Amino acid sequence: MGSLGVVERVAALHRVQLFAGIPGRVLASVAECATERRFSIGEVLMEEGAVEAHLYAVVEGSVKVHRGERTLVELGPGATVGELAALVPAPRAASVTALEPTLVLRVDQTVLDELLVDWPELAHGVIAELVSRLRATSEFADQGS
Amino acid sequence: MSHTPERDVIALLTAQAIAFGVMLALVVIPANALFLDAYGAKWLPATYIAIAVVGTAASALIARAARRTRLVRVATVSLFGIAVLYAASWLILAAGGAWVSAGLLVLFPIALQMGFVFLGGQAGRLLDVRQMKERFPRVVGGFSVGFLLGGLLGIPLLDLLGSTENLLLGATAAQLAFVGLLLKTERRFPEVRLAPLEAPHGAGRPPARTLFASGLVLLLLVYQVLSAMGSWLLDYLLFNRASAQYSGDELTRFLSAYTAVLNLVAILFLALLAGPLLRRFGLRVGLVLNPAVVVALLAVMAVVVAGPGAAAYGLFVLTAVARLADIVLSDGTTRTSVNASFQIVPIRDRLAVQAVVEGIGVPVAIGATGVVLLLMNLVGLGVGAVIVVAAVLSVIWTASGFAVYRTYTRALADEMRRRSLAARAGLADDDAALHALLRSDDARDVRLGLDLLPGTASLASTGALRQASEHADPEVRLRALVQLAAAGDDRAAAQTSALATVLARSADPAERCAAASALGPQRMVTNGQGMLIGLLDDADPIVRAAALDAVIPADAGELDVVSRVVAALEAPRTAGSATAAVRRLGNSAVPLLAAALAHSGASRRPPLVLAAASAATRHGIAVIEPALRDRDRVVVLAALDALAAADGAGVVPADLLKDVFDDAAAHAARALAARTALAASDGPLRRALDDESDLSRRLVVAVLTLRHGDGVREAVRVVDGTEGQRRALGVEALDVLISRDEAAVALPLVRRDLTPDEQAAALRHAGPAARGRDLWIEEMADDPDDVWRSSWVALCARHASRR
Repeated sequence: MGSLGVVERVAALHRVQLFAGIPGRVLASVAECATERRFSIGEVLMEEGAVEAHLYAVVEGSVKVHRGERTLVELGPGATVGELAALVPAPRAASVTALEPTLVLRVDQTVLDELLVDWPELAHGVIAELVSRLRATSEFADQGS
Repeated sequence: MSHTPERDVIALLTAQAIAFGVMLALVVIPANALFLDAYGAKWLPATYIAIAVVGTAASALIARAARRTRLVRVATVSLFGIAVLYAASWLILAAGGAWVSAGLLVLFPIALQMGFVFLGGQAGRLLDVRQMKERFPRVVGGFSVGFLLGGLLGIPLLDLLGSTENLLLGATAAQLAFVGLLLKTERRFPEVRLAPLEAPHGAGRPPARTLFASGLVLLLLVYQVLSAMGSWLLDYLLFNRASAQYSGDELTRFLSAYTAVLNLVAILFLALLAGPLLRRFGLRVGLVLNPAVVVALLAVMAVVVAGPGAAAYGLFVLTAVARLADIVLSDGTTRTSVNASFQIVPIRDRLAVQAVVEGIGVPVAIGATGVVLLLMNLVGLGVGAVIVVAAVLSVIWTASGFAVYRTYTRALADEMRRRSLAARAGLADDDAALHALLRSDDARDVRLGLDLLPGTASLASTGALRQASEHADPEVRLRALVQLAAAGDDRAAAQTSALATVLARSADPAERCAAASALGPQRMVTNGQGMLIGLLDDADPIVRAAALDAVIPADAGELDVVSRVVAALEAPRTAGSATAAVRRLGNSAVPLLAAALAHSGASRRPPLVLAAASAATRHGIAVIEPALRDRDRVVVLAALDALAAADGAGVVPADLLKDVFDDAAAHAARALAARTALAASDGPLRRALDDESDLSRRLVVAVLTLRHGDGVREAVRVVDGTEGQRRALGVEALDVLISRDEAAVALPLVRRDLTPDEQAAALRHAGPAARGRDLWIEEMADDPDDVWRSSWVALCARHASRR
């Protein structure tokens, strides 16, 4: 499978909740800077404890967010993983593993920084995404206890 | 209206209005005929006074009931009660009690007002302010149709039923139909109940005094009182002149023909002109047209009386025309405009206020007119004097129309500014809490206490600060020392300088930030400028931001500082602090700022543009002009927004604003027209065009904000962030703030409830000719006329053309 063009990448980013409100002309520069990566089943996108400063936007396929064997949440196209570390670099709180052949776009902290200055709406999106992730995690924890 | 089908609402309200009109016609015919037959016209002014007394009492009862229970219940009970009165009157008349015709004459205007209060009340709950402006005339038109029908039915009914009083049976039936339709409306749209208008025990319910504390409500009361007085004086003038021209059957024939013509004209006006007139000219014309036309006609009448005399046929014709114009405009524009103006009153108060204004104000006006006419008759003043009195009243009425409009626009602007959040309470008004924070062992608490301290002046004791200055955390220690030094403690100043110098070299970014904060306004650190430059060059953006916060006006002479501040505008993490620092540096930053802005590509950084806008307010347009004339509309938008934020409305020349507005309008029309021609599969290009029309929308709003003030942005914020009535109020607020030409572009763009196709249709006047998908795509990809100016649109177009 060939790599995505800029237009396809922007279309993919527009399907991501976080970037849905950002105009295509702005996302075009994000798309150009983004790195396209493909993961096969069982391949790890992120390792718990790793210090990194980027997020992944899932374009195709699905991933699970887990701590050890305990799955916190499963995510599919349009989801993002690793936003917190992309904003404030810190050890990853969980691992992320591909559940099927998965295509992601990697967006680095420097690009997000630029976007956040020009598009405060993105900050709202990040907060909303984090809150929903936190809710899902605590619901999961409640079910487990 | 957010979720009710508008068409059904209008149909049901119009049906109610028709039944209402038929009922009133079948009351007024027998009431007048029987009263005049029994008592003659000379006692008519006495019925005016009775109307005032009875009408006021009835309205007070309704207003009281409206505050305690829901609209539909008040309306049902009132209207059913009136139906019972008609039936009882019929029985009394059949038994020979002609006196009851006086009661019916008194009841007629009260029933008229009451019916419109209930119709307006329902419409106010089911339609938003813009739908009211556009559709309520149709409902009022239903009333005219009903009145015409009632008049036409009068003669055959008379033949059928045998005597005049039997027409009251028809009135009773029509009244019951009105009640039935009202209940059907309630069942179909339960939101019309939206109440009880008052909590069961009256809790939280403002008293009538509070309701009328609003300037707008008071002015509406004055306006409607004057409107009623003007109308009744015209009514009197017409009857006076008609009875001078005709008598007996001739008079009856004239009145029948006149009533038919009047209703026909009213229907045509309501159906064809009233809505477009209000849409195009708004409430200003809606409120002023009626009194202004009446003033003009009364002025001509005065000339005729002064010339040919009161007996002239021309004067009679003029009274007929004036009465016709008054009724037609009153139904078509005045009533609708008054109802629309009431939309600004909170919904829970609206019916109570409307009932009092329309129910008490109007009857009192009718009574006052009766008293004036009786007095004038007593002292022997003729028609000329009545015309003069009516003209003076109408001039005041016109002025009150302008005043209502002005107050309405102000009230709308205030409503747009209203925020749901309560005013923030002061955080640091508690000495004990502040002392506890400063004495805490937890460094976070002490930092919070130190943060709050500057706003609380003398509240913190020196002892607490001294204790904090010995805290284990060096950052806390330094900040406490800074506070003590600022209060004049020389020993603390020396300690501050020494500690800051040490912390500036620390490996911990938090401590370097603390060192920067010690550089603040007093600059109590030895070699402070050298330390500042070092911290401005720090590798950590958080430390750089702290150093930028420490820049003071005295640094303006230091080029090394100024150049670093301007450079920091372009780094995302320091841009905010740098913008504030540029403001503090003043003139010295302007040349570097202008150079940075003119530098290729640099003008894309909004913080740089923001700083330039701030400088432009003091140093003129030249600093920011490159951004305002940039080919990229995004840069132009950033410059306009920055100027608005920096209170720089007066900086931009009017012709430049006009160019930007016209370009944005044309661009929006072009983007929307192209979008409608694309296929559903052209997803990325359609989205790109949506973004372009949104960019145009932002440009239009930015220009309008600079032209008309922050009210524009506040109105747009309301349109974007709310639904239903409040969103419609936002659109209305925008409509009254801007000109008609601006509204023709801005409203279709601002209204989120319109689809792109509807927006494209509304903006067709500003855009290019329609064409097919392929031609649009070709134009967007090549952009031969440099109208799209977007590499992204071009890329999407080329992508679409390959598919």
